Amino acid sequence: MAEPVVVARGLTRMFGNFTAVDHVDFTVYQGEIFGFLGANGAGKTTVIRILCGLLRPSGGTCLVDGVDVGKSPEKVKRRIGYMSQKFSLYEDLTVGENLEFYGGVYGLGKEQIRERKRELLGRLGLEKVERQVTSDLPLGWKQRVALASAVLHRPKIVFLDEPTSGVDPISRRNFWSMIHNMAASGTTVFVTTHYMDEAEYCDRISIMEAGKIIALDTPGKLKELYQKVSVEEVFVHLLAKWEKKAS
Amino acid sequence: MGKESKLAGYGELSEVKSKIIILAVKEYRHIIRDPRTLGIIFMLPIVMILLYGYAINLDVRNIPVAVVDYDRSPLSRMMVEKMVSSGYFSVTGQPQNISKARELIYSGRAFGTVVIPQGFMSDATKTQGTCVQLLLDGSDANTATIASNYFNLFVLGLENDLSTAAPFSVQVRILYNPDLESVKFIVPGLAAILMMLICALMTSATIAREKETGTMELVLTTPIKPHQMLIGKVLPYIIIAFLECLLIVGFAHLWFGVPVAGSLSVLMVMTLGYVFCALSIGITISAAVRTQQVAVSLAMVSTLMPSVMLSGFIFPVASMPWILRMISKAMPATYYLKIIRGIMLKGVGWSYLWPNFAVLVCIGAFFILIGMKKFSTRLT
Repeated sequence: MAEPVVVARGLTRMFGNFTAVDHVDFTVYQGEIFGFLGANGAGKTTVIRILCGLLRPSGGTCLVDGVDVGKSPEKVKRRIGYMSQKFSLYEDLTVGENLEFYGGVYGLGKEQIRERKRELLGRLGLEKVERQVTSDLPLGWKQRVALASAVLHRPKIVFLDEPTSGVDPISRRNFWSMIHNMAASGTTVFVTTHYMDEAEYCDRISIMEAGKIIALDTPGKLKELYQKVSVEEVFVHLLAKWEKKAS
Repeated sequence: MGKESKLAGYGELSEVKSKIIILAVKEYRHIIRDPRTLGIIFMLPIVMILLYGYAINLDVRNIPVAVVDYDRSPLSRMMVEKMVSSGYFSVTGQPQNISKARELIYSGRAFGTVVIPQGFMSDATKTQGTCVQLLLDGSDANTATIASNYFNLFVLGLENDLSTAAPFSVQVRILYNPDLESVKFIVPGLAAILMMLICALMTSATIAREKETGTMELVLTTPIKPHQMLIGKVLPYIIIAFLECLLIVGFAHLWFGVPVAGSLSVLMVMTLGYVFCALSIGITISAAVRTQQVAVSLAMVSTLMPSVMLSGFIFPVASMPWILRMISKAMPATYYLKIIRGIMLKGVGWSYLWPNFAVLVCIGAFFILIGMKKFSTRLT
């Protein structure tokens, strides 16, 4: 098996008395697309924010590329790329300027930035808009720019928090083929979504509910286990079961 | 791993520097692409210089007064002539009695009335003396106060002229700004207001904007440290603040003829203290709020408005009630005004002004400690 890139053991995060993430265990391996599913408020974003060093875990350990995020969040930052739920590049800068800024922030040299920028813009079909201010772009394009800035420094793993929410179906499909290419070239992809069709594209998925992981396997195995034809049905079935148990 | 951190330790200084420059360049782009920001930076100083240099003139000349002369003597006529020739007053009418003079004040044609009593001339030479009454339109209290001061000065001068037997004479000499031209003390003060605006209000707004749009979160997942982020962001504003300070000093000197009696380099060093102080307040504000709009309102109320009203920029601190005087003591602009006026008008230097500079640095240090602490704990 490939080497593990993320190892979470007993990961917990409290906000006051509320347990947003409740003793979560999972492992993500090099080069896989790891899908994180769950209803809104299930704790997906909190997990991602912990993995990116934005939030301190309240308990448990979490290694990202061998570095303990809770203890040395600064060391993790060079190894990861992050794309947040809402589009958060600079709207008043051009596509090219945004990429140059992030390249510079990660400490890439000028030559390196120019080279990788050209390569990424080509790969993501963004050459034509390089000189356009990002606020003028449609959302689907913006998300591609955000992806490009998250991977410009060639991170070992990239965290995508609902990268396709609000994007039209064609753009979503394009976006996912880019994710596949990235994974094929060795970048590990950790992605949250609540589109069930997207879950089918993942190598493995975990389903989260009320801060706990209630299922984790490949889409095929989960469908087989619960005797369902789609991930969506598995998801609905599991949530219904969970709710019954909770009440 | 140990090897890697060692390697990272090597190029650290130049890497930190280049990251700060990258952030500063980005901030520069934000500034030049936002028409509102550009307007505040380039138009506002010019508008304020013109406004405060010309329109808001606290000097009073040619106050229109009516004269009711019940004495009609050579002395009363001479007094009226002298009043007019002083330049402070102009006589708009000589009504018969006080009630007619009141009408002139009601209608706004006269701002005040001078009443010269019967027997003015004959009493003037007697030991008990005489008196002249001045009635003023108190609905413009400011002008009324100034007019009454001018009148007192004028009467004092008149007494000296007339009476050889005067027990003493009063001589008023105004130092540093002999003509009492308000432009000479207001225009340099604009530097304090504008730098507070740029360093406290605009920086708190730009930092809060990054929080509001989520770009701050993204940047904090990169290897940039919060303090590098802050330094990079405020750097362009520091440069702009200094340029505006020079612009104001230049304008004041070349256009309005305000002297630069002291050392410009001492002024610049002390300005650095003021800029540091204003920036720390701006950073603290941005750390405390989540949106740009709240940052702007908070900065407006806590820094800009009190700087204009309570620092002595226009209104003298000495005549404020004690509670406002206390607030005034907490405003950085109060100290900077003493510095810039002291250097430009009085020509004093370090030895007199260092306490003001020290206060600025202390206020700045206090806020930067709070600001940085809040800034880092909120985001990790």
